[in-house]
Amino acid sequence: MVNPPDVPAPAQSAGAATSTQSPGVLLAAGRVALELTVDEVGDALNLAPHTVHLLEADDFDALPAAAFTQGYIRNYAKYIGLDPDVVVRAYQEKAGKPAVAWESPSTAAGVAELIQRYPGVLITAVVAAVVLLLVIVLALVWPDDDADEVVADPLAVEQGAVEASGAGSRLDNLSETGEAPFNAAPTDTVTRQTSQEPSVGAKRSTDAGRFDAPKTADSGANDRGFDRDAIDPNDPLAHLPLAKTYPAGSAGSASSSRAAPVDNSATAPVRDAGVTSQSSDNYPLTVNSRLTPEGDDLVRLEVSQDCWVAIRSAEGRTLFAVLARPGQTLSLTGAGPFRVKLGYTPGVELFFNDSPVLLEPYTRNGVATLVIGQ
Amino acid sequence: MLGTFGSFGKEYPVIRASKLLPVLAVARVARSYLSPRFPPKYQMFKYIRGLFSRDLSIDLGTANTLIYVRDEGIVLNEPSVVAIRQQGNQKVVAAVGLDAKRMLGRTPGNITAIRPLKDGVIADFLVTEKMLKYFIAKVHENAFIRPSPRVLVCVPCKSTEVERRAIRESALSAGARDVRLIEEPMAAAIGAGLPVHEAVGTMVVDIGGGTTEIAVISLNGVVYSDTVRVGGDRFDEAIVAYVRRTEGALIGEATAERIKQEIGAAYPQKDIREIDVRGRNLAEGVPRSFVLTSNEILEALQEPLAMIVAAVKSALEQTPPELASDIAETGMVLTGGGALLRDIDVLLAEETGLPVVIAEDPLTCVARGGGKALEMMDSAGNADMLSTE
Repeated sequence: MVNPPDVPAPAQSAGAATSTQSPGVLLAAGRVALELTVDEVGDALNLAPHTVHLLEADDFDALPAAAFTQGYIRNYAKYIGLDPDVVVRAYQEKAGKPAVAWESPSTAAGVAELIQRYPGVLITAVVAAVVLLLVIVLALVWPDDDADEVVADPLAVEQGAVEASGAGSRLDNLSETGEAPFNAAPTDTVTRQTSQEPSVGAKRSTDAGRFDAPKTADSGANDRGFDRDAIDPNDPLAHLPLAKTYPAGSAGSASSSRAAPVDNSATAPVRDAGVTSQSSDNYPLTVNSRLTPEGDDLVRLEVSQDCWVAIRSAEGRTLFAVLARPGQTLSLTGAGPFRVKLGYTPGVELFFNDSPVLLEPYTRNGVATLVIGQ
Repeated sequence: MLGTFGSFGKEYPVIRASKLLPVLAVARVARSYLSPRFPPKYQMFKYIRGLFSRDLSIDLGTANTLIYVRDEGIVLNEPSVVAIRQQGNQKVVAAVGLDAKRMLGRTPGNITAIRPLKDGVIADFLVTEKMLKYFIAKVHENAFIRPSPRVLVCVPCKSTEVERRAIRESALSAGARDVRLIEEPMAAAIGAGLPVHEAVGTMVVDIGGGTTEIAVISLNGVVYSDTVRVGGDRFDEAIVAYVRRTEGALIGEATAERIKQEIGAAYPQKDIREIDVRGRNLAEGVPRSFVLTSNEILEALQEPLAMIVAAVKSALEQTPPELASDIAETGMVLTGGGALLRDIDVLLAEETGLPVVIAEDPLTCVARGGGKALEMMDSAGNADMLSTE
C-alpha cells in the first residue's frame, strides 16, 4: 500500500455528504473523482482488482468474512480521502449487521433461552421453590402437640378462671398490674358457652378443666357472676402458669360439673390448706388439685428444691404442669395412670396413694420420666 | 406449633454414640467437599457462590486487563498495575488499576507501583492474585454474596506450562471456581469476527503490551503461532532511549506512552506532528522542555517495529502453502493496543505485500473473543477445541 494520493475537495464532500448511499457507490465515486483506476487502487491496497470491483458493486457475499470486508472498505475509503467511519457505517447498514459484534442473545430472550443462559438462576429458583414447598408441607403435617396445652391461648385460661371462680387469680394479677383485663363476662355466661358449642379457646378451657373455686364469703355472688371486688389477692393458684384443675370432689362428668354450681364444701378443706400457709416468696406451700374429674388416685409431691412437674394422661394430654417451689406439697387427685415428668429429681419426692415412688430407675440427667397408677 | 421446641413438655433426645455415626459420616463428606484440596468444581461453597456469579473472560495483559462479561460486553478496562504499600513487615495493596497507574513513577518510599505481568506472563504471583481478586470483585460490585465466577483467561501462545499453571492458580486463588485458558491469537481472531471454524487460513497479529502474537488459524485450531517479546512497552522503552540519546534528557514511561499515543507512527507521515515534552536534562540535572516530532518517534520505533515485521515475515514463510494462499488473498488482521499505532497496517502491508486490516475496536478483541469462546464451549458441550487444557 502506498500513501494516499492528493485528495481533491469533491471526494471529501462526497464521502461526508451522504451516509445513506451504498458503500460501493461512495467508493466508486471517490475513485472516479480522483481519476484512479481499479488496478491502481488494487495495487495500493494490495487487493486484487476483482476484489475492488466486488467492493464497488456491493457484492459482499462474494467477499471474504465481514471483518475483512469492513477492513478493506475502511482502507479504501482512507486511501481515496473519504471519511472511513461514514463509509463503514454505510456498509454496516447495507450488510444489516455490525461486522464484528456478534448477535447478542438478549435481543430475543425466550424462557428457554434465559434458562440456557442463566442456569444458576434456574437452579436457585428450583431449590427455593422446593424448600418453600417443604416448609409448607411441614407446616401442614406437623403434629399439633399443643392442641391440648392449656397455655396455648391465654384467653382460654382466663375464661377457665372466670368460669370456675368468678374471681380468677389471673384476672386478679392483671388488675393489680394495671393491665386492662379481658372481657370479664359473668361466670354463668361463660359456662353456658363452653357447655354448648364452645369456641376454640373456650373448648380448650373446658378440656383443661377449671380452677378450684376458692371458698370465700361471697362465693354465692361469684356463682351468679363475676365480682371484681371479690377477687382474692392471695389466691394460692395465682402463681401457677400452667395449672389446670377440676373442682375437687366433683366426681360426676365434666358436663355435669359445668352445669352444676361448684361444690364449695368439698373443696373447702383443700383450699383452706393452700391459703393458710404461704412461703416468704408469696407462693402457697400446699396445693391441692384435681387432675381428672373422676378417680381417687392421689399423687403427692414434696418439693425441696425448684423442680418442674408435668403430669399427663395416658393419652399424652397435659393435666398439670407447674414449676414447684421449695417447701411446696402438691396433692393431686385423679384417675390414673399418669405420665409423670419431674425436671429435677433431687429436689422432689413422689408419693402415689401415700406410697413413696423410687425415682432413681427412671431418672436420667436429673430428669425422671415414669408412669404411675397403671 | 414450632415454638414449643425445647419447652418442658417435649421429650429430650438422648444422644448415643451409635446415633452420631451418620452425622459423622455426613460431616466427613461435607469436609471433603469444603476442602481446598478437592477439585474446585466440586467445592460446595464455590458452587453456590457460582450461582450468583457471572462468567468472565479476562484478557490478562501486560499493560491492561480487560474483563468481558457475557451479554454485557467489556465491563472493566484498567491498567495492570498494583500499588503496594509497605506497613512495617506487611505489604498492603494501596491501589489497583487506574489509581495505581497514576502512582507509577510518583511514589514515596513506602509505596511501590508495580506491574505484576511481564512479557505477557506473571512476574509476581501474589500481586497478580491480589489484582485479579480486586478486578473480579469490582465486576461483581453489586453481588449479594462473594462471587466465584467461571473464568476464561487468555494466555500467550508461547507461554510455558509453568507460566500457564501460575495464571490458573492465580485466578483460582482470586476466587474463580473454574479456570480455562485460551491462546490469545485464537481469542483475538474470534473477537475480530474471523471465520476461525472454516477451513480457510486466517492470520492474526495481536500486538499487545508485552508481546506480539502471530498465528495462523484454521478449523478452530492454531496451525502456526509465534510470540515475540515486543509490544507497547517496548515501544515506550525505545522512545525513552531515543530521547535520552538525542535530547540528553530522561523521561518516564508514562511520558513515553503519552508521546507514542499522540504522535507515534509506524510509517512516514505527510503531516508532521509535534509534541512538547518535559524531561530531566542529564547534563544539567534540571528539568528541560523540548519538542519531538512524529518522524523522530518513527525513527525511535524502528527497532521494535522491525522485529514485528520480521516475525510476521517469518510466520508467512512457515505457513503451509494452502493456508498461505488463503492469507495472500484475504490478508491479515491486526488486533491489540499496538494496532492503534498510526499506520502500522500500512507498514505491514508495505513490507509483506498483503492486505492488512485493523480489527474493529482492536483493544478489546481478545477479551471479547474469550467471552465468545466461552459461549462456544458451552454450546458445544464444553468441547476442548478452543481450550489449551
